[in-house]
This record gives sequence, structure tokens and C-alpha cells, in this order.
Amino acid sequence: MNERDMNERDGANPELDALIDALPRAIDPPRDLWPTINARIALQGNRARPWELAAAAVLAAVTVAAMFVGFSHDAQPRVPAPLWAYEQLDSAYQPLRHASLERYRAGADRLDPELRKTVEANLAIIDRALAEIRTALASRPSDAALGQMLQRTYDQELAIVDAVTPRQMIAPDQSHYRGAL
Amino acid sequence: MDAAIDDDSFNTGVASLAFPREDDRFVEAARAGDRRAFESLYTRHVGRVFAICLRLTANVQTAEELTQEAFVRAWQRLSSFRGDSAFATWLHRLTVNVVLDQQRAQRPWFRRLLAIDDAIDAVASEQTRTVSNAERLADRHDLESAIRRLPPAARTVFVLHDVEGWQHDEIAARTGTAIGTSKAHLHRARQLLREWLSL
Repeated sequence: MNERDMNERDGANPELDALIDALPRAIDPPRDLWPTINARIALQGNRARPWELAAAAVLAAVTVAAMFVGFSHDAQPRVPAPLWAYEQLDSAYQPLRHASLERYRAGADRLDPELRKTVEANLAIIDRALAEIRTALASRPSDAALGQMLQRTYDQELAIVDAVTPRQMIAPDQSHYRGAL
Repeated sequence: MDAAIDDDSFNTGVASLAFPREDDRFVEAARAGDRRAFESLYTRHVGRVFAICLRLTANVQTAEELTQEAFVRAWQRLSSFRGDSAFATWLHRLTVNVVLDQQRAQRPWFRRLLAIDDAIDAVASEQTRTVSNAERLADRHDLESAIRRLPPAARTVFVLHDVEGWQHDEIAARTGTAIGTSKAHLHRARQLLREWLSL
């Protein structure tokens, strides 16, 4: 499986094949992902000591990792994400959202009218999506997929404002990846 | 010059490719519940896992989340790893499964929401086009950026087949499509890449 099946490449462009072969096999992530992984596996295992579980729970709350537990649709034991994990997520995002939307409102007049219309239509869709996700979470607080959607929807809202706000056009978090992706 | 910046802007994680047999003792210890041993496995393999996630999703944040998910799932399933293949091979396949599961699990309305990203990116790129961006598209060797631009289905097949070495029948079985569809996506992907990279 790991050996490339050269026969099934079209063979018509060895230059492209050479570029593919030259791709780095590994790319390090921009931040250390281990603390969240460690917190999650500590929460799942029955081998950890109680103090380890407590420490892991705090870390999971901070990173909002707990809401992803049970994300996979397999038969493994799951630990439902506690409601407070979502509340932590809300608390963490609200100041960012507030600042982001303030920035948008301050600069909206300078946008092309057509672009502004598109942006605001999309922000309205996101607002409705957030309301739907929160409603769903109220009845299914341990649904990890909903938690993931909540975070991504927040991120999308921030990304949209960033995309049309001059201060964010450099997209600093992504700058490490020029060339990587 | 973009190429120079690229070379310095990320670590290619060479350490994770070395000494596969050393994985065995870490796997044994991790199976017994040793999280430090599992951390060693993470350190050795995170670069490969992240690369797979990043190329399949074309999104840094999603790739980070799925990398974490892959390692959590690996921890959960270590007992099912029998050592018939190298740990790395087992982990990479598990990682692809995690990514494909995530893509399948996205609800239709959420997919529509994600599509907004594309629209916004397009508008933003028109507004913020810079010399470096234009140069990047013209860089014949910026295959990574070109892969990111591929349509999702074509990108998935291209990465699995041409980068990860999967066969079309494996891709078709895992993605729930026909072998012919997989081949068509690959053909389209390579066609676009040749065009974009002026090859």
C-alpha cells in the first residue's frame, strides 16, 4: 500500500512525477499538539490517577479538547463533552467576536457595496447557524460533532471579517505555511 | 523569493521517518498504558500524520484537529495493532480513515457553510492580491500550493494515489466511489496541476 504504483501514474509528465516525489514526507505542525492529545487520552483511560484526571480535565477545558472526544464513529468507549466545555468555548470566543465585528463595522463603509452585501449575507447565515447549533447543544450537550461545528463556525465568522479587513490581510497564522500548503 | 522563504518556514520532520523498529518498544510500553511512550510515538510520527491531514484538508486548523484525533484514535486502538505491518503504516492508514470519516460526517448544511469560505477567499484574493501571491502561483515548483487549490474530491484522490501510494481500488472502496471515478478524479487533478505549474 505504501509503495507508489508508478504504473497507474499517467507517465505523461515525468516532471510532475519528480515534483511529487520531492514533496516532503513530513511537515511539522505549527504548534505542539501533544498537550491536548495527552489530556484526551488521560480522560479516556482508566489507568490514570485521580490527580492526573483532574489536571487533564482542566487542560481539556482550556483547549476545548473535550468536545472532540467521541468524534469518531467507532465502538470505542466515549466520554461525553461536559456542558461547561462549550460554555468555556463561548467565553473564549465572545471577546474575539466582539472585537472582530466592531472592526468590520468600523470599516464596512469603505468596502465595495457588492462585497459588503456578500459579506453581510454570509455573516447572517453564520449567525443563524450559531443559533441552531446552540439550540441543538442545549438538548444534546454531549454531541461532539456539534461542538466541533460550533468552534468552526466561530472561526469562519472571524475568517470572513479577517478576509475583508486590511489589518488581517497578512493572515499571520498561515504565513508559516507558504510552500507547505 | 518564495522558494527561499518556503525552505525556512517549516520543518520537514525528518526525525519521524527514521528507525522504524525503535517504534516497537514504544508501542509495547504504550499498550501497557505508558503515556510517555506514546508521546515518543507522537514525536516520531506527528510530522507524517500532520502532512497527510494538511494535504487532504488544505486547512491548517482542520489538519491540527484531525492530527490530534488520529493520535487519540491510535491510543484507543493500540490493542488491535498486531504488528503485521510497521506501526507507521498502520498509523498512516488510520489517519486517512480519520480524515475521510470527518469529511463524510459533515452535515449537508454545514458543507454549504464551508463553501462560504471558498467564496470569501476568492473575493479576498481579488482584493488583496500581492506580488508574492502572484509569484507563488507562477512558481513552477510550488506543488503544495497547487494541491491546495484542487477541488476536494480530486485533491483526495491525488494525495492518496500519487503522494501516499494507495491503489485506485483501495481509494474507491474507502471513499465509496467507483474505481473509474477515482481514476477520473486523478486524471483531472494531474491535468490541473500541469496547467497551473506550466509543466
